[in-house]
Amino acid sequence: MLPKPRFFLDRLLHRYRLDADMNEEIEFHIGQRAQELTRRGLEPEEALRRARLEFGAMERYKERCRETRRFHLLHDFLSDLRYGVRTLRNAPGFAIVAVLTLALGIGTNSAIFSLVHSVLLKALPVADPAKLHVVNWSRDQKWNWPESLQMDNYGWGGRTGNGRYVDNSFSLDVFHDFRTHAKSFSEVFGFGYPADVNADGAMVNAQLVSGNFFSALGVQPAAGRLFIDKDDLLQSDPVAVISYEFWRDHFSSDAKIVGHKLLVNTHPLTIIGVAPQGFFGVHPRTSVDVYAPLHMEAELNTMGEPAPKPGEPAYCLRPNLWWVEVMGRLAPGVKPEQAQAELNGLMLQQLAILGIKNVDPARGPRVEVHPGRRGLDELKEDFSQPLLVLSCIVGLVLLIACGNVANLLLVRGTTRTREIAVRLSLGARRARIVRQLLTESLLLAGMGAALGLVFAVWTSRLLLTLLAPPQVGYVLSAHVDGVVIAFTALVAIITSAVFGVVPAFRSGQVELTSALKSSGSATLAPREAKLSKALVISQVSLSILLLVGAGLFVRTLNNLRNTNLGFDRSNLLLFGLDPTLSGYHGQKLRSLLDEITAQLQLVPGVRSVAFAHVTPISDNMSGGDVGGDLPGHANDEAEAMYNVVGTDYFQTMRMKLLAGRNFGPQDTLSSTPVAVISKRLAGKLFGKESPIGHTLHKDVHVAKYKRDLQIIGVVADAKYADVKSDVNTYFLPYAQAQEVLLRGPSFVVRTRIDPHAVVAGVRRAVAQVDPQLPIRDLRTQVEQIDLSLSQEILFADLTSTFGALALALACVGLYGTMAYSVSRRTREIGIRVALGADRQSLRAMVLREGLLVVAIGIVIGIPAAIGLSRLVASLLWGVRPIDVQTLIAAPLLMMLVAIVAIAVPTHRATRVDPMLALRCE
Amino acid sequence: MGDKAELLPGTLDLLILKSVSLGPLHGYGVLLRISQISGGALEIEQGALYPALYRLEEQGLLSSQWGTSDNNRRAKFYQLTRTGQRRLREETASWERLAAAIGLVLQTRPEEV
Repeated sequence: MLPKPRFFLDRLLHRYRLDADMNEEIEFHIGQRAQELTRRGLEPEEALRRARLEFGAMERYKERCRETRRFHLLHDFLSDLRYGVRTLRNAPGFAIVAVLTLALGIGTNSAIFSLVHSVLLKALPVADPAKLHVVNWSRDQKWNWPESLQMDNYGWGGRTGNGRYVDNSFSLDVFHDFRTHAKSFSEVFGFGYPADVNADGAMVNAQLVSGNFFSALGVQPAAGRLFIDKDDLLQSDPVAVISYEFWRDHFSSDAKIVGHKLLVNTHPLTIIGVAPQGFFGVHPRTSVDVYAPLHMEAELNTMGEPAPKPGEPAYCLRPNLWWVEVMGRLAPGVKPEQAQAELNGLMLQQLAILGIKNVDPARGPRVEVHPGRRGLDELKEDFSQPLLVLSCIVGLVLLIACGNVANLLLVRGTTRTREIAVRLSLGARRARIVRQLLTESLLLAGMGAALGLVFAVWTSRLLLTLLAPPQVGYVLSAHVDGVVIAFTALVAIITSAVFGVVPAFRSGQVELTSALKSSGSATLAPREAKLSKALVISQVSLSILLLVGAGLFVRTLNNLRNTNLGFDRSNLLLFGLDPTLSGYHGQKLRSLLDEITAQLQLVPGVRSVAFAHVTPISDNMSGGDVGGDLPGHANDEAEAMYNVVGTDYFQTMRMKLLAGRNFGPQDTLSSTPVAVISKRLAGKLFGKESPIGHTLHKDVHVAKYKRDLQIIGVVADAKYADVKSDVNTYFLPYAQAQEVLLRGPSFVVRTRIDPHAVVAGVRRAVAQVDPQLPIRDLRTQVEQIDLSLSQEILFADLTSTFGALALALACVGLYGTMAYSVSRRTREIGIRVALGADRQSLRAMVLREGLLVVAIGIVIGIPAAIGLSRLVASLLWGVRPIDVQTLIAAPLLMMLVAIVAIAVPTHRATRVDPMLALRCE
Repeated sequence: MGDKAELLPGTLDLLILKSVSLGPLHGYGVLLRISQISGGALEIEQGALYPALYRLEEQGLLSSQWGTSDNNRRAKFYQLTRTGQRRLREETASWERLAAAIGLVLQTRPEEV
């Protein structure tokens, strides 16, 4: 393993020359022989031919010569390595500082790479993932389904770069057509979006999958069997497959799990098998624990659709409900474009059945086939930019670390001048010595990398929890595996080249006579001193980059944390329930909510209680287009989010009612539907006029949800889905809401005391009403806000940590350089002292020299920081990329810390004893 | 070819060391020298010389330097290092012991047993 990089270097540096030398030597031999033969009377041409003949199998001999060399290089490398270990053992201080610095630099890179690898690069753990493709469809934003169809769409949608709207769900019919007729795919499989279910009392993700889901992915069971097509029929026995992790954690890997009846919501499913370890489904962001056949949706109703009327088919079978996501395996030799065209034809046939004919391919629905080796890759969008920024940051840290080690090596090179000179005079070639010094660098980097990997194992876990806290519901994983180790090895080799090459070549150029004559004191020759200063300058400017970055991200986080939310975030405890999963419906559900509210109000420390469809800053938004009825503006529309709230919601959240009235007992299912709207929405739809008494047209474009509401009040604006955006909101009273909006209610509890202190009381209160009701997402409002800011917190934390690290490394470099500069000038300082220079002026002289280095670094660093901060502009909030405060603070901090670092060498300069100094050389 | 002897395995190195010990030589020179001092009795395949030279150099017994040949061409000259000299002495001594012993054995007459 080890000599490989060396051979590589060798090939680059020596191989060509060695071969040329060997050829020249052999040609010379043949020339001489031919000359001799000519002298004996042969024709020159014949002589040359004979000479070659006598030489024998030339290529074989050449190869044997090369082999000798190669064997020798390996031998050299190993002996260099042994020599390196010995010399490092003799300089433990140097070795420890260098290895630790490198471990820090390399380890952080490995840690971030392990994240990049698993979050962005690694394929699904299935057979031949490269063949997998995701099937989507796209349409122009202006294209709409005919209203008469009453289309329902459960897919994930989003805008693409070309302005089209992408959707990833199809009806069961379309999916079946794909599966039966598509020849461009060897396998087509479908699945629903993972849904929360209550499985034997645990809240887990469940996914409905087609019968061929596991076989198409090429996944083998860890126990029992996986689904076959016969499991996925309307009349099939209700069965389930569970994940390995769920089996391990919830059933203690029970060997008799097959046959167990798993109670999913209220339906018993027979477990037939366990998926393999590490298989999480095809949504990298969600770990699925329970799989059920696609047609089980008719029973399980994970989408919460109303039950069909007697005689009607189950909801999920309807051609106007598009909910099945589709993936497939391309048949051998088929191009994605061909598959796309074939599937498009099949989808258009189904659209024709629905009455949608003559679809314009430019505007209407069109199938798209995308690579799917990572499944439905939502992670990429969320994390590629943060991870890119983090990679750059740790790259900079590594560069700064390299600067330090290079500086250490330069200084060490001067202390080894005599050793090198002695070896040169004993006949060692200079190239050989350079090689030996490079091997030492490689050894240092190798040890740093090994230690760095240990460090990475620990850090990547920490980074994962920062990047995606467990509460956000997705599971990210990062492992230090073969790929990460290979990456680390590569980084180590590059690193050793970055920090080792210049010092090694400098040391190789030792002047023999002067070096042997000199006393061998640890002083830098003028050229080394310049080089060392150049290194410190670059370290300072790199540190400035990181410090400016840290400043921008810390300020962003502060702005986000302190922004006015429109409600009082302190002393608020939140939690959610899923009573419908336990069978609460209709009036029973509404009384349950009232009963729990009443119980919570009795908990000591609780001031007031309310519940709502969603809680603020939970990134859980629902909304649509609304309109008003102002004469002349009746067609004005606005995008608005809505929430369904209990009676005391506004008081509990401390949101101010600006006009009109709050919801009250007079608002019931049978009275006029009413709404309270936000000030912003009121301004949008009604301008300066009072909206009270006017009508709000809800969901003007979705026939199914379209309703007219009477506006009874205006409430102050508040942040809704996240702390960054101002949105229009309107509120509906829960008493008038459709049941589907009450399925997963969240409670908000305003406390008099620290909200953590009432947690036990809150749990007891809920258990008193129904001990079987699991509580989810229990946390304070402040915690929930921080959760939504996890990326910003990560950036602020990491950039300030790395900024501090960079500052420390740069100052260690500065200290070293200045200390050597002072010792190099001991004689000069001695003369100055002897000539009467006072300590004050000496101190000023050294300080000036050091600060000049820092100042140059800052002058280079600031424009670079300004240039680079533009790249992170989209990650900032409330701060402009060119932030004067940060641009002043960062260099100031750098200067202050630099003065401390220079203080010791400065002090030493003033202590120089002129007599000793003059004698010392 | 007539009176030429096959080279015993392992003796090529010794011959090279010996011929180089008399003064720096390029590869072809080594060949000439061996042929000259053995009176043309020892035959080596010319190409086989180079792997041997390379090996001896890598072992540190020879060192090499580029110089100019008699006819003013660039040539690589080999010379014995200090280790090489020591090795030559040792090898010569052991060769002589071996040769003497074998000679003795071969000269033995039946009545001496």
